[in-house]
Amino acid sequence: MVVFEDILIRILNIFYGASIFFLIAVGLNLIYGVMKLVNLAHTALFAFGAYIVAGTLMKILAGFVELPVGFLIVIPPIAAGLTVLAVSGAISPLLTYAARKSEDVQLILTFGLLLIFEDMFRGLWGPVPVVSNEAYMRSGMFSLGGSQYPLYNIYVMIFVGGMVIALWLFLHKTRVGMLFRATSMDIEMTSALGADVRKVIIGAILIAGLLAGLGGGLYVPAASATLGMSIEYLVYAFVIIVIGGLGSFVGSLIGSFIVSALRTLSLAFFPELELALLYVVAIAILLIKPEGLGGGKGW
Amino acid sequence: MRKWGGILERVSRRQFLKGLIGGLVAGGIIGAGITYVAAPEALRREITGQPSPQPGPFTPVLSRPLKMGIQTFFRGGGAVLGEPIYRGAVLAAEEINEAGGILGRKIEWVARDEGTAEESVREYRKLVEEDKIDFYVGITSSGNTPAIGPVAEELGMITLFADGCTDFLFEQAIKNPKFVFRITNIQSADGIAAAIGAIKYLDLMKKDKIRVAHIHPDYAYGRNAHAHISIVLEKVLGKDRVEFVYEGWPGLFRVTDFSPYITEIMANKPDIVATSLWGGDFVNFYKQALGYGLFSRTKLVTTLSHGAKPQATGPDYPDGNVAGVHANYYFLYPHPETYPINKSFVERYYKRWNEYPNFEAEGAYVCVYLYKNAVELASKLRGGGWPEVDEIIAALEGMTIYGPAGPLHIRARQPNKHQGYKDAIIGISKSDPNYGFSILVDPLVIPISRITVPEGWDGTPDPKAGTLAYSWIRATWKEGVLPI
Amino acid sequence: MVIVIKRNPLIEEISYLYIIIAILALAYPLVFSFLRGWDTILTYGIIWAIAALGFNILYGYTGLLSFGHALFLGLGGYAAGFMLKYLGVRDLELYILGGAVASLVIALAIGSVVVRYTRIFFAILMLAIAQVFWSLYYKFYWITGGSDGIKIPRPNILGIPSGSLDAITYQYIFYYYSLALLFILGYIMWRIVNSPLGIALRAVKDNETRASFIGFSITKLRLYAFLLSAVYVGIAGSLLAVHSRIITPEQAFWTSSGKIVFMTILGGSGYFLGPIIGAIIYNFIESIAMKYVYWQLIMGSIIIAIIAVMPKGLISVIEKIIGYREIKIQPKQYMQKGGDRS
Repeated sequence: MVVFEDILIRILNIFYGASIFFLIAVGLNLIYGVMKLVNLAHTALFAFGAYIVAGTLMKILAGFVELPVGFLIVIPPIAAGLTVLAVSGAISPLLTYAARKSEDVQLILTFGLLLIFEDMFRGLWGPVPVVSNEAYMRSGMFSLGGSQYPLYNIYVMIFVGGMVIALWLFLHKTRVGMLFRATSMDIEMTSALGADVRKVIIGAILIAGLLAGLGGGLYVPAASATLGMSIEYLVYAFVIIVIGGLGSFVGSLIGSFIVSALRTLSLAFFPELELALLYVVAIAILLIKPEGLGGGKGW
Repeated sequence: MRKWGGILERVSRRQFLKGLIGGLVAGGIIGAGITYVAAPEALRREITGQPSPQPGPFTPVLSRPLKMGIQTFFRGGGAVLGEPIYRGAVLAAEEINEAGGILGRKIEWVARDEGTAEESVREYRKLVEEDKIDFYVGITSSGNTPAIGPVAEELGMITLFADGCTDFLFEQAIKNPKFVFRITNIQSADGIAAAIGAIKYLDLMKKDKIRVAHIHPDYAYGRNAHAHISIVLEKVLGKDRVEFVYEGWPGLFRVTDFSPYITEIMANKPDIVATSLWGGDFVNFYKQALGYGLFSRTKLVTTLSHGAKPQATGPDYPDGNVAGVHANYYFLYPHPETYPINKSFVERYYKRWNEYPNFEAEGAYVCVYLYKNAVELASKLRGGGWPEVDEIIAALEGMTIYGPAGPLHIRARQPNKHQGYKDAIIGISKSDPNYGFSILVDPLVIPISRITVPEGWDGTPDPKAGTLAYSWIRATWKEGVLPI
Repeated sequence: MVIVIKRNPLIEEISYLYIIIAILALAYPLVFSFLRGWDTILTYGIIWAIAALGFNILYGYTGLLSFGHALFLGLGGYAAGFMLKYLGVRDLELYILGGAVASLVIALAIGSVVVRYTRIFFAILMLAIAQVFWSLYYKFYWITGGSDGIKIPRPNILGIPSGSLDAITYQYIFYYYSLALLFILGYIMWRIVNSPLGIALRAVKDNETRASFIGFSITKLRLYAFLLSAVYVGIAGSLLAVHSRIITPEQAFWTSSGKIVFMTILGGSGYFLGPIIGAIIYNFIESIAMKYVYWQLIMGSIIIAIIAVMPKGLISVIEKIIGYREIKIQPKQYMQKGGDRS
């Protein structure tokens, strides 16, 4: 019994999932593009953003007078983004060190970093999932025929949509953005032409951290901050970069979208196969078009 | 065969064999020799398999402290269930020590982590062989009890499982246990109790058609709950009245965003949603479901909504949903004001650990007291002195103990020998401002004998569902009748 | 004239292998008597050593990093489990054979496609394939036992029925059995590594283009290494399941792949004995670390420290302490008519 609103809700869910995925994937791709570093610890930054909001920020804010919803949905994610930006800055020496190594060593090094983060979460916020969904609950819902849809999710989609446009404009319409693209295409030439690629690299790390933290902060009111979240999203991130192609902005979009769609649709029609299906598609893409559907290393 | 630079010698087959055998033999002899010189007693015992000398009937009770091994989840999603096992056991041990110990011996404890089956078995062995515990309390995961059980039998360690309630343990893994016991109710009782709760509280007998959606974590517990909820609904309500409209299987603690599942469930317009999601998964699920208005359209039937940490089910959890506690214990039943044992337990637990006890804590607490009672009884029966392991086991079998949840009985006969049985609880959720979280009210006490396979029943486990209970329900329950 | 070259660490003399095996043989009774509880860890170390050894022929010698070798660990374990459950097999030898065969079959099926990809693509591809199998082990729970897995009681070893042995004797026999397997498999690996195949593999790793120009078929060579590594890891997988008395999907999860990689790096992927040393030491570290709540922090820090401080692994440190062996050659040996002798 398929009803229009059910289809619409599924589409909304796909967009919502893709929004969160995008914030993670684009940072991962940015770092790879500019530094040729595969950073397995990137999703830990996403989890960090979620934890900072749910575990610390919201606990602090809870002591205050009831804050307006508008405040709650905007300030915490931005605060998370900035915090994780700082964290990225702190770990950037390790990342630049790793970037000089071969790919396998990069994987191993960043994996070690991921483990450290996971235990840090445990130490700072405990082993029990941290929940803080005031922002989600208070945003309310709107009716769609006989069904309801949370307004918070809509907000996230709009926010991320704005980020997509802002990022695209940054990369394509600003001089700094052009430097990023140039560095990811040919770092030696760009450096030879006089650009300070070290600044570009640091910039990429910081921006990627900002986006990941932002993603975590946006995500957590509708879910929770849990140990193992980094791993959960790392799995998705892998599939996204495979499908979309490493180091590609467009690829981040396409990959996020496809993976979110696959997940939503497989849950609808083949709930038993969910994860397996994702991997099978990833394998298929790897075999047919290893550089991904995003059109290679293009931005 | 070419060698790099012609430097290295060819190794002939004879040399290779000589090296292999020689190395192994030499190594073994030297090793055994050193061991003999250093600790001849240990070596003799190991070679001959003799146990250490046991105290005879007239040996005075040892005064060295008793060592209790505790093993549970201290990290990860399982910690919300696991840590209370540690806390309940420690509370019991502290209380017993305060009162003078067991036959004058104080209890000390060593705790180790539970993990995957491989890791848990390794840590268990270390508890027994390295830490040299005298008895063991622990385990949350149903994946680990069937792995540790056979090892416990092999090593001859009295092992009291506080959870890990899978039917598989005594039905297939260790059919005739000697050293292994399990205190919390068997897993199948969980799903059965939830289904019975749904039928009673939600008045399902009066409905023409019931649309049921399932969402369970994809592992043995979820499969078990799914199977038993389904078969009870089918048997009691009738196959033609029950329609299963959706099944979701998110990985255990692998999913934080349940929105795709929620929308799928709602798209299928169920009357009830049956779920065994627990801990963090459950909290995520219900909070997100609130945003989609799930609760205004359907009722949730849970096996564990109120069983993890009682205070985790927040005041925003809607009232009127079937609240499960793993068919075991809820801190408000028997009500502390009417039952001193529970009153004392809840108050002391809260004072010690600053939270309310869950069924795991109660289970572990009872494990320790059960051991104490068995030792004391066995000692009395043999005329004094510390009893042998065999005597303790004989005392445990068939024993009944009054714990905070009420009376618990340890079965002495097949099937499910050494399984603990106590009446099951299921209830309805209600937000309570005094406590600040959603509590279980209106508890329905289900006599455990009506929902578990009785002593002497000789059927075989169902091949797909994997339990005796499933076969037993299918074979013996009458259609259309709620057997309580 | 004398030429002095440093010994190529990838092909150490076989005597080092003998020494290690002898030490391990000696160590067991001591550990068993005095450090009870650690004997199991040592046994695990031996088994993982077999896996790491197989893994390294692909990684250290051929240059392909796989993040999905848990695939073969799982296949080995489930081969044993299925043989028990559906064929009633109780013999260890058959389990091992089953594990090897199952891994070989799957490796053949996916190998020729998979080895055409390199570096990160290969790593992720292997990871994805391993994960597909992993999720299947969960989903087909009525065949595989799902998350509970399949229990594997003590097998018959060398024809001796399992029931006739007491616990301690069985553990001793199982340990020396595994050690003997490690020795045999290690010796075979050593021969392969020193054969034309081994040299060809190293050539492929060092310079792919040049190797293909010489006439090597890169794909075929990589495939051989892949198959070989699959068989070794498969054997380790069945031993692992037998030693743990159970096979669960966890054995096939990607974290197991990560463990193999870690062990190899720890010991030193550039050394023949590296994976063996790494595996044994890793198992001890893991067991100690797991006593602490923040064991992931410890493991992660160790990983980073190793890469930073001794990127070539533990053996490189040992080497520095012992000192390189210098080898002097008289070039006359090589200037015979017609070139090198075979």
